[in-house]
Amino acid sequence: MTTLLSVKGATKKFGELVAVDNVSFEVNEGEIYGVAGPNGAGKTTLFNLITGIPYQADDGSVHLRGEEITGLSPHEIYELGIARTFQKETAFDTLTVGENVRIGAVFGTELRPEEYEEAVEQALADLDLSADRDRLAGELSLYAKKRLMIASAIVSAPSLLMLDEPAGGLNVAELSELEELIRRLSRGDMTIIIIEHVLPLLFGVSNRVMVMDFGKRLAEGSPEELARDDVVIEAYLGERGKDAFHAISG
Amino acid sequence: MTWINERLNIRYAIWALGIVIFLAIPHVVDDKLLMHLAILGMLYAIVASNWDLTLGYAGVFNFAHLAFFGIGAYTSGILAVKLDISPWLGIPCGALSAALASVIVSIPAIRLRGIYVALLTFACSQLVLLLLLSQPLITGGQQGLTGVPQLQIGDFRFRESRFAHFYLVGLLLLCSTIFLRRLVTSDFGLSLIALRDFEEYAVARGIPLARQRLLAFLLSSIFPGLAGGVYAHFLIVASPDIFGFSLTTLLLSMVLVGGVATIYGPVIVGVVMTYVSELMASSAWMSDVFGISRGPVRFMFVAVLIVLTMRFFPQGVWGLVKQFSARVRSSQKDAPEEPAQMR
Repeated sequence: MTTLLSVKGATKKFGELVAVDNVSFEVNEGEIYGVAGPNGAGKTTLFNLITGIPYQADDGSVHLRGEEITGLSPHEIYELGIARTFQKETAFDTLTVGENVRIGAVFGTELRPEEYEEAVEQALADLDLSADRDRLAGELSLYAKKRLMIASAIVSAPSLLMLDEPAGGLNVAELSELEELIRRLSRGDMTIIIIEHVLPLLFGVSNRVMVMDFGKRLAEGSPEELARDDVVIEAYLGERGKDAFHAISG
Repeated sequence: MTWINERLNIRYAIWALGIVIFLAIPHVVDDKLLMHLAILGMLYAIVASNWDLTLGYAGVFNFAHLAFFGIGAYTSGILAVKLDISPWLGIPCGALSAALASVIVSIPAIRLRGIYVALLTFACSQLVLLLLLSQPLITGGQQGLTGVPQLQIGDFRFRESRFAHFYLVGLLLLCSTIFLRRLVTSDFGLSLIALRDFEEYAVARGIPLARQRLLAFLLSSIFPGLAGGVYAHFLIVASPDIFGFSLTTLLLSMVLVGGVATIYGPVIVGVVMTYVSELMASSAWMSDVFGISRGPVRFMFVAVLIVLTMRFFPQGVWGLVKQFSARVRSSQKDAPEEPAQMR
């Protein structure tokens, strides 16, 4: 397997707080790599360090296909093929859905005008947003906004898509659709890193998962391995929760 | 598609009607003061609408636009008075100077936010003023640069004509407005709106923040620079009053009352406000009623208007027009609904 992304010793401090503490991991081309951990574990901060939005790492390095991208500006990182979404549903509310997606195609890609028109159409269709093309993004529902955010990320055909809690606030039917969407994107040659609190979704789609807690990398492995890992269970449920979990699961 | 054609036809009809009315004005209006104010109003409208590009679309609280206008005026004026260079060459040189100044101002400004941008750009504006005042032999100091030659082509002198300045400035305003509208409806305009609405998300979608904001400053300085040059040759003087807080407030009110991020709003309100404020300065009844001397009355009016606009219709005059037209359209059953977007 070829390594697409390699993060070595990433560290970020906010005063005394070490939000990300010497975290290293690698993501292979074509895989779905999950990042799990309780609130405040440093998952989103890790995403921020990779993409340079809104800050860079204090220490450590990030490599994409072997080339160092540490310290590059966010738009340069996007140009190199890393597109991310945000934890909170985000869109340019005063622009239409079509224009939101168009921005992702026009900037930071080498597409010609006739090609990005086509790419926009395709991304809208893939995310079931074609009918909303001329609506203002601010009028969309939460789920539609989340889909729009993904559409504007995939329109540039990134080599790495980073999804930050895409399932937050969705109902069961929407979760099922999202799971299918992530699988579909992965089948189309896209490498995906996904942060998610909805563990059935995360463990269901990921090839490998890294668990973080207090800014550190706690464990990494396949979803099956991690589901039985005492350290991971304790991080989520605490010492007493772990015992209860074992009592219930036998 | 019928409704689109209908709307296009209406739009073209409005433009055509506007141009016909515009061309007829100097032949119908005999009042010299009114014509003078109309020309002044159009020059201010150019500055206000270009200011709207950075303030409204890019969301940068920039206070340097009057400096770009002033730099255009002084550059063209100095070139003509001191070096005897034709105004027709001096005016484009004024635009170039303004563009250069915009790049110098924008380099530190583009990475700053909110009040810091306002402070920095206002300080730059005052720095230009102090530089001009410090060189009285070249700029005329406090008295301003006098003896700026009027515009002429061969023996045809613009000041002796009823319509020459009016048509020239009108053409400049038309070109500026078309240029700005093309900009804000282009992908470049989209990127400015995106950066204004959600900077982090915009850069995450590949928009280079520094380059786009620098371009916004640069592109919005060219027409104010040209307008400044024409202004100096129209009034045959370049005065340091251009950089004053009073004129800044007046032009800011044109952007805010006209409608932020609309371009058309500052253009229309720019012309109207110039007329109304000058009328207040020259008429006695307001000062008689309120017992205030004539000078401050118009600026008090402007201040009150800004407060009322911000409180009761922050979308401005053009925003109200768009809201009204959207309501009319949505009430027409057969017409497909279009979003009432504010750009």
